[in-house]
Amino acid sequence: MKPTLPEDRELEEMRAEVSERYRPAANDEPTARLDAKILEAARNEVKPARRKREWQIPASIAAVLVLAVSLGLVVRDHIPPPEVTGQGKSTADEARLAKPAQPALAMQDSSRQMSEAYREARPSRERSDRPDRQLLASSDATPKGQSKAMPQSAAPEHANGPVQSRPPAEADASAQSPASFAAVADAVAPGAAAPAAPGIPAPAPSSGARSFGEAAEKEQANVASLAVEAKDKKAESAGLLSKRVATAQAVRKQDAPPPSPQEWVHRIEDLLKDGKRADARDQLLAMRRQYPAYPLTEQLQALLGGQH
Amino acid sequence: MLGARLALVSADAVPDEQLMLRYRDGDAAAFDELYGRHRGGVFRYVLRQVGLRSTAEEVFQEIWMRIISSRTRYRVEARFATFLYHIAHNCVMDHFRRKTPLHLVSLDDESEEAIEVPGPGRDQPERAVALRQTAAKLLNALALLPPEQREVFLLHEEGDLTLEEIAGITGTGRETVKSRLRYALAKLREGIDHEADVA
Repeated sequence: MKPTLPEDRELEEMRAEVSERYRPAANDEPTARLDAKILEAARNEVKPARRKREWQIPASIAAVLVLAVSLGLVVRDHIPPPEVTGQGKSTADEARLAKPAQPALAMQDSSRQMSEAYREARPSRERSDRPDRQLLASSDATPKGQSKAMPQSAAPEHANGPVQSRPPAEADASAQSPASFAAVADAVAPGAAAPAAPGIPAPAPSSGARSFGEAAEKEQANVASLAVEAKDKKAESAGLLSKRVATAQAVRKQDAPPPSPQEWVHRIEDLLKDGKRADARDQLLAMRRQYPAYPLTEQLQALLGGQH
Repeated sequence: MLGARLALVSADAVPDEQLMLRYRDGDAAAFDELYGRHRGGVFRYVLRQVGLRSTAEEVFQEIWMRIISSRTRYRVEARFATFLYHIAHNCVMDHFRRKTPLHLVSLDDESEEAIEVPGPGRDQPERAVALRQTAAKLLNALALLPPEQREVFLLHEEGDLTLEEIAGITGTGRETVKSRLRYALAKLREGIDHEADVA
């Protein structure tokens, strides 16, 4: 844009004249070394910034994720309980709060029932797996003819499976027992949950039986301990008395569950064979109290005849 | 005329401001181009005021380091040349505050401060010698100017800045700048003519 004022035009003419003479002298420039130094500094200023961005973005994302996760965990662990502010709200809140308690109570109740039923209907195999039983079984491992004297270890196997699957010795032992007894045992032994044979009432783990069973449990424990002691007397010759005493004590200490009816019958039969009729009768009475519906053989009915 | 020459050179080139913005965003090549455009003018602006080449290089480097370090804060609020020479002005002022004033350049000296004026060509040796003599006289007269007038002349000549832009950089009014420039040009022309008359 050309100057319009006369003084500006004069100034522009002067400047043009001086500039024309100044140009040839205006050749001074920085050295190449200085240029390189400055350009290098400029590049270095840019490079670190790129590096910063390269690690800053993923680092910031990672930090946000860590914070979010930790915050989420903290919030989840510290959810405040619902505040009760009004009556209308309190009813709903109480109902909501009561919900989780109901299943818990129901679960407790059902677990208690299950444990009681299990105790009543526990397969005799489990009990035979207890140390004292195993000890007795091992000490009484006798030939075929004597296996009848200790049928406790054979009875559970008989109760839990068909005869064909049992070992030959046990199958023989059960074969030697009366046919009616074997049929009854097969029908009842699998436990209270097993369906009973027609016309034969199964020992149901009902609440009535449970109430009665509490009193009977103590009696059974005493009977079981007596039975173990009797067996101990037999085993004294084998030098295993000390072990059995310890085992019997352990059994007494435990809350001994009542033996299964088959087991009980075997014990009574053993007592009868040993000539201990009074003890056998006591055992039979105790068994009748525990299992009133359990069918008895003719021999046992005869033993119990005086009572009826 | 320098302004016209720069205008021809940069007619289809990327504006300085655009280059500086690109450099701000991490484009080092943009700075290379920007530096190439202004390195001579800024250096001469500094050299004519501080006198010593070594000192001029120090100040020159400081100017560009400030440009580099301020890149992230750069905003296009004026021409880049205004921004650049504003920083150059501040650096020179800082130098003068730290040091004793001006070391005048002796044209008879063969030291590093001696200014070499290139000749236009071998075919005109007499004219080349005359131009060199005139340029040397001009530089001598420029060195004898009062600092304010010399700075106004250099900003106008090397930076191709307008009177308003110079007024903004130096913190004076436009008329003051115009007056200083008029005095500077008159003295420079007088110095050339006086040397010519003496010769």
